[in-house]
Amino acid sequence: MKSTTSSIEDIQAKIREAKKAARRRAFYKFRANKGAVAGAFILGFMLVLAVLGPYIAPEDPYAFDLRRKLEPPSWDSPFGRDELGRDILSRIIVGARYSIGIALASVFLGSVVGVFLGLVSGYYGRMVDSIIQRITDVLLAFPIIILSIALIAVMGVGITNLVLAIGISTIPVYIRLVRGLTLQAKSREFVIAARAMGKSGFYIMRKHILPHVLPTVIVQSSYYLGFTILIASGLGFLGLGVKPPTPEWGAMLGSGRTYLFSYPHVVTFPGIFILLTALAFNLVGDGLRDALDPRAGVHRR
Amino acid sequence: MKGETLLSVRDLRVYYHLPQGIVKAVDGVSFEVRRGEVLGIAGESGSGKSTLISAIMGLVSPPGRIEGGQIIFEGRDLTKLSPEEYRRIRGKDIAMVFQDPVTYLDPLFTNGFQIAEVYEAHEGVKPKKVLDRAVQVLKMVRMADPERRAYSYPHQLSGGMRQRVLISMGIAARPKLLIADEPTSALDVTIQAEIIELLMDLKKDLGMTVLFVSHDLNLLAEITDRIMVMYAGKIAEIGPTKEVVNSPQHPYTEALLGSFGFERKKKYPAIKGYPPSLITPPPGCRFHPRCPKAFPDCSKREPRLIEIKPGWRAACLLHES
Amino acid sequence: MTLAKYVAKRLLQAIPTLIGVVLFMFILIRMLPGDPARLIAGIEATEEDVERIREILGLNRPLYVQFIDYMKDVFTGDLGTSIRFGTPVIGEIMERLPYTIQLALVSEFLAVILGVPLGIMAALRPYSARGYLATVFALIGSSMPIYWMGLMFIYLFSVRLKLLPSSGADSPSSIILPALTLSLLLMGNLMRITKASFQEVLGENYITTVRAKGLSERIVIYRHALKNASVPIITIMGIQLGTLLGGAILTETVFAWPGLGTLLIDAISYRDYPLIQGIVIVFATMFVLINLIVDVIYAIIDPRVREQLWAAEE
Repeated sequence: MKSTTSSIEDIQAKIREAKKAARRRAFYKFRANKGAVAGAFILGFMLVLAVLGPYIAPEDPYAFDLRRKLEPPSWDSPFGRDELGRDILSRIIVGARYSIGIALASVFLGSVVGVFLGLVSGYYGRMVDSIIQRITDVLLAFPIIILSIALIAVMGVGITNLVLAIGISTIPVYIRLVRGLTLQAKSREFVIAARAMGKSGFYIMRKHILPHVLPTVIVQSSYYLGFTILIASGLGFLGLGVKPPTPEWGAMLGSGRTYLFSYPHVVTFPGIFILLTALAFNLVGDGLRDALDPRAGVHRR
Repeated sequence: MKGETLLSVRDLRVYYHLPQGIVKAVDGVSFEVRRGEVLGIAGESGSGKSTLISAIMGLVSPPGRIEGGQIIFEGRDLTKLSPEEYRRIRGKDIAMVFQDPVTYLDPLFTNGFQIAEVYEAHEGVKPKKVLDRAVQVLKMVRMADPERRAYSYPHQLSGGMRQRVLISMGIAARPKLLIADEPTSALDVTIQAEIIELLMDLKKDLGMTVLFVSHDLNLLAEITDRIMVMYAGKIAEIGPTKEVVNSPQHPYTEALLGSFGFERKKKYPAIKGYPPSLITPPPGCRFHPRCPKAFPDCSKREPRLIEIKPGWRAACLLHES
Repeated sequence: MTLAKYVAKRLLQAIPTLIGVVLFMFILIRMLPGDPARLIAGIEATEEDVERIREILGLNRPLYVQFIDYMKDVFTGDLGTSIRFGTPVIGEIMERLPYTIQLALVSEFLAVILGVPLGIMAALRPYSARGYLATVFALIGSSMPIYWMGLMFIYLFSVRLKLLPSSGADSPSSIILPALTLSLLLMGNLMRITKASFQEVLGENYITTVRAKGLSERIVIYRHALKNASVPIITIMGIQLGTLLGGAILTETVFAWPGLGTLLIDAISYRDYPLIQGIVIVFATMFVLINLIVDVIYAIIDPRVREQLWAAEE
C-alpha cells in the first residue's frame, strides 16, 4: 500500500517537473525571439506609464492655458500643446492608463465570458451548444467595430460602456475557438478517464480542459489586445469612446484633427503611441504563438 | 551505342548547411551509368540516395549545395550549366518518376494538363492545346479510359492510377535517362508488380536508361543489371546484380538482403540500429557501430572501395587486410 | 449539383443568420433605457412630437407584433423612416452605399495588387533586405491606427504637397487617399499570410514535380504555387472583410467620404435609431454575403472542396 502511494507521488512529481520544463522551454523560445523581446520592453514601458502616469507627468494633464494653445513642440513641452494649451506629453503619459486599461479590461471581459461559454458549449453539446452557437453565428455576422459601434449607440458613451461594447464584440471568436478545442480535448484519454471516475463537468472543465485551451487563448488575447487598442482609440477618435476631457489617445486624435492643417503636432504624437502599443502587442503575440502554440491562426474580424 | 557511358558521376559531394552543422548527405560518390542498362541504387532513408538523384536532376536548393565533383551527361558537365540550360535538360533528357503519388501531383490541375506541361516546358506549346498528346501518353502507361482520366483531377484517381500519371510525366518527352525514385513503395503488392512490369516494358520500348532507386534490395535484384548500395553518403558496394546478390561483399549489403525476402532472412541477420548522424558520422567505417563483423580497426580507418573483380567493388576493411 | 444550385443553397442557409441579425438589432434598440420615443425626441420635444415618433416606430403595439411587422418590412426592403430626415431609411442607405462599395473595392484591389507580390517576394527571399523589409512593413501595417495614418496622409499629400484633395468625393482623385489608407490596413495581413502560405506551398512535393518537368521558375511560382497558396490568401481576405468594413467607417470619417460609415456616425450623433438600425443591418448583410462569396470562390478554385461540398449538399 505504502509503495503505491509513493509511486503515485513520484508520478505526480514527474508530471510537475515535465510541466515546469515545458514552461521553461517556452520561455527560452520567447526570449530568443528578438521582436517579441522588443515588444515586451515597449509594453513594460507603457505599463509603467499607465501605473505611474499622474506621478511622472510633468504637468497637470487637465490644466488649460488658452494663451499657450497649439504651441508647437519646444524644450518646455516636448510634444507641444493642444487646442486648450494643455501639455500633450503629460496627456499622453496620463492617457496610457485609459487606452491600455480599456484594452486590457475588454479583452479580459471577452475572454472570460467567451472561454466559459465555449467550454460549456463544447463540453455539454446538445441544446446548450446549439443555442450558444446560434447566438454566436449572429454575433459573428457583425464586423467587430460595427458591433461595438451599435452597442455604444444604444448604451451611450463612457468608459464602462466602451469596455462592455468591445468586450462583448470579442466574445464570439473566443467561443468558437474554445468550443473547437474543447471538442478535441473531450475525445482525449485524460478527459475520458476523469469522466469514468465520476468527476463533475465543471471539475473536468477546470482541471483538464481549461489547461488544454489556455495557450491558444493567451495567444489570441495578445493579438486581440493589439487589435482592441486600435478599436478603442478608433471609437475615441469618432467621439464614441470616453468623455472629454479624459486624455485617452484616440480621443486626443479626434479632438485634435481640426488643427491638422496648421498644427500637425496635435495629432502626430498620440498616434505614434497608439501605433507603438499595438505593435508591441502584435510582436509579443507572434512570440507567444511561436513559443506556446505554433499552429494557432490569427482571428480577426 | 549500347554499353557506352551515358552518365558519369565523379567524386560528387553534396552538403546541407544547417544551423546544427554541415550534413554531408553525399560525400565523394563516383559511378557510371551505361546506356540501356538498369542501375539500382539501394540504401535506407538517410543513405544519401535521394540527395544524389536531386543532384543529378539539378534540383538541389539551399541550404543544400553541390560542394564538388562532376556530373557528366553525354559529355557535358551538368554542374557547370546555367539554370536555363539545366532546365532544358530536366524533364526532357533526364526525367524522373517520384515515389508518392499522393503528394507529388498538384491537386488543383487536371492530370492531362500536368502531363501536357512537359510539352510546354520543352516545346513552348500551351498545355491545353496538347491534351490529346497527354491522352496518348496515358495510353502508353496502360491507363484505363485515358480520355476521361486526362480531364479528371488527381484526387479522383486511385493510388495506382496516380502513379501511372506520374510515370506519364516522366516519359512524356521520351527521356534518355529515367530516374525512378521508389515508384512503388506506396502501393499495394499486386499493383506494385504491374507498375514494375510497365516501367520495364516502357524502358524497352522507348530505349531508355533507368536509374531505379529503392530501399528494397530484393526488388532491385529482380529488375536491375547492376546494383549500387549506399550507406551514410558513401558507396558501400557496387557491382553486377547477380554477383552482388549471390555473394555480397559488404556486411551492409548482407544486412539489407536480410531485411527483405524469405529465404535470405535465415542466411543473413536482420539489420540493427539506425542510420548514423551525417553531421558527426562515426569515425572510420561509418557502418561499424551496426556491423556484426566489426573489428577494432573499423573505428580507426576509413575503408576504400576495393575491386573484388572487374566492375565489382566494395568498401570494407575485410577486403583490405 | 451545379454551382448555381450551391449558391442558392448557401443563400437559403444565410437567412436564419440574417433573421438573427435583425432580431438582435430589434432587441438592442428596445433595450434603450426609458421611453424610446421620449429619448429619441429629446427633452424639449412636445407630447405631440413624442406621440408622432411613437407612431413612426410603431411603439404602441405589442412587442412580438412589432418584431414580425419589422421583419416583414425588412425583407420587403422597408427599413423604416429616418427620424432626422423624415425619409425612408432605405433611400438614405441606397444613396450612400455605392460610395462605400466603391471605396471597399478599390482598397481591396490596391491591397491585393501590392500586398500579394510583396508577400511572394518576402517568401522567395526571406533573408534578403527586401524580404526583411516586407516583413517589417506587414507587421507595422497590422498595428497602424488607420485614422491616424489617414490624417498623416492628408497632412503630407494635401497640406504639404497640395497634390490630392483631403476630403469629399467631388473629383475622381478624391478616392485616392482614402483608398490608399484603407488598403494599407489590409495589406499588412495580406502580405503576412501570402508569405506564410507561399513558403509552405513551395515546400510541397508537387512543386518539385513541376520543376522536374523542366518548367521555368516563373510557371512554378505564378501558376502552381500561386493557385495553391490562393486558398489561404482568400480565407484571410474573407476574414479581413470585417476589418475592411470597420476600417471603412473610420476612413470615411477622416476623409469625409460620403459613404455608409459617415452616415452611421451622423445617425448616432442625431440619435436617429431607425437609421442606425438600418445601416448596421446592411453592414451585417454585406458581411454575411461576402463571406458566402468567399466560400463559393473556394469551390471554384479547389476541385476537392467542390466535390465535398456538392456531395454534402446532395
